Amino acid sequence: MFGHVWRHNAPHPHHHHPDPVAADALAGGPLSDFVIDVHSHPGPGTNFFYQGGGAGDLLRVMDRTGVDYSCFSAYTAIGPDFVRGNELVAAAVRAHPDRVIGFAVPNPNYPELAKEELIRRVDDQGFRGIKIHSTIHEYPIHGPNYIPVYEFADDHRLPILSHTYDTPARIRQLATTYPNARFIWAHAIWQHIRTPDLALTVRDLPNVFCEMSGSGNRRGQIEAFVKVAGVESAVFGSDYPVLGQTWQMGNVAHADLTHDEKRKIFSGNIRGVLGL
Amino acid sequence: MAELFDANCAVGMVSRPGPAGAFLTPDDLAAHQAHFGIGKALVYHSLALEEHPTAGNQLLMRALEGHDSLIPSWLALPHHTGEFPEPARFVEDLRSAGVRAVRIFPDDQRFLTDDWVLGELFAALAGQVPLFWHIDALSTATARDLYRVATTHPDLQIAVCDVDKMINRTMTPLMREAPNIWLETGGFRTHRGIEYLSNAVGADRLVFGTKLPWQAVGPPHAELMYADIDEDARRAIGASNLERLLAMAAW
Repeated sequence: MFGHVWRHNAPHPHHHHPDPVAADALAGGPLSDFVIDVHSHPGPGTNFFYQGGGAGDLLRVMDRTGVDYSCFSAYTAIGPDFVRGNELVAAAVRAHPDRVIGFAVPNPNYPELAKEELIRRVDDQGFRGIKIHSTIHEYPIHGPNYIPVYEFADDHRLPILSHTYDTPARIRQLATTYPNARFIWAHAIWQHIRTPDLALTVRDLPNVFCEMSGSGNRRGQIEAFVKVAGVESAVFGSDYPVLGQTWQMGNVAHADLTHDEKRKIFSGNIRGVLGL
Repeated sequence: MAELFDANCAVGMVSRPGPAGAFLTPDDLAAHQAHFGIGKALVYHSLALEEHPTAGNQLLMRALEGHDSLIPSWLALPHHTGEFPEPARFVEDLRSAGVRAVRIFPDDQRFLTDDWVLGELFAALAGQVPLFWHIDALSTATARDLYRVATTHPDLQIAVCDVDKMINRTMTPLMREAPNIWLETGGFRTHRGIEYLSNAVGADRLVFGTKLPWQAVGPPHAELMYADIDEDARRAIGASNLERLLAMAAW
């Protein structure tokens, strides 16, 4: 499908020959490895425009990149209307159960409705994770209305994808209080440069993962995080269409890591958590 | 094999490199770019940005001696303080040195781009040398500046550099209204962004860039390689558009 004329034979930046995933990315072809994107938000852009963004559009991008599964939480759900957003994702899961994993969004500003939503989406509709966005919803991740969310995740052994982690100390507190929940801290590897304690903290927490999407992609930052935290703490997520899935994928595919390390980031570390 | 041409990269030490560091020599920069099929680069010196253009521009010329694939570009400042040559003299210096691209960083180096500050420079560059205008963000003020300068100086070719993801609603009419506005893609991490702008305004004014050494090459490289555009457009954005832009220089 994307047999581009540029077939680079150039080596990986720090190896004499590109590994298979780097070779795929150099050529602009679908990645041949199994890839899970833990972070995506179907829906139109609100504060800026991007083309497409609906579930079908995101699936077409997955076909180009070779991403096998994406974890959907609707853009509107992390914004104004989490019920409507969760319903949109439920429809996408029903239509594409072999490509889409539903992450339910609870808005803590509507605590009763949030509890009902989690039960309905997870217990009744097969969502396999929870997404929280404490920044847009303007509610602290350690606030009381999030406690039922964490308890629900702990009871159901679910992953929680959180936009922010507050502090490394907060990560440790939540991870140890709710040991059966799995915390995926979005954008955390991007923030690692400013918070070196993050990698030191998460390396000892088996139920914590750090995701790498972000607007600043400093050269070597994934490698630096992995060196301290260990590759088992890193997972691939793109935040697309808010950011480009291709952009974030290129960051991992061309990182100065071994093929085995990239496989773990692209899916190996999180596959079991998602039941795949 | 077609090679890529990087419109936006720097050589030299920087104050805040990422964990992988900066490129202290042109050989290091070119070797890293070669891994991604980047065969040519339009380079500036990091000290031209982080110390002063007069020092950095000179260091660049010495550093690039014997490196034919690395094309020099100079930073410019307003001349009013006496710290930088007057525009006519600057253009002569460019011509003498064979430098065919000028960059400005108004946000980093703290100057306005109104005609009472830079009008003489813009007039001197128009029809002579393309201008690479680095922005912090496409803010209201910056977008209005770009529109005003591009329409006031229609013969001045302006490549907007270091954009972010949130530009489409303004950049689309800007590029339609001003055919002398180009876009460098190094920071353009918008979902399907290259594909969108290629269709909306044409692929012929997009130029590939990396923002090395500050940013990893993998992300902007993947944006270009995975864009759902035809191969002619991909080759144009990857290299030939920049070749065409630089060929507009008068020397």
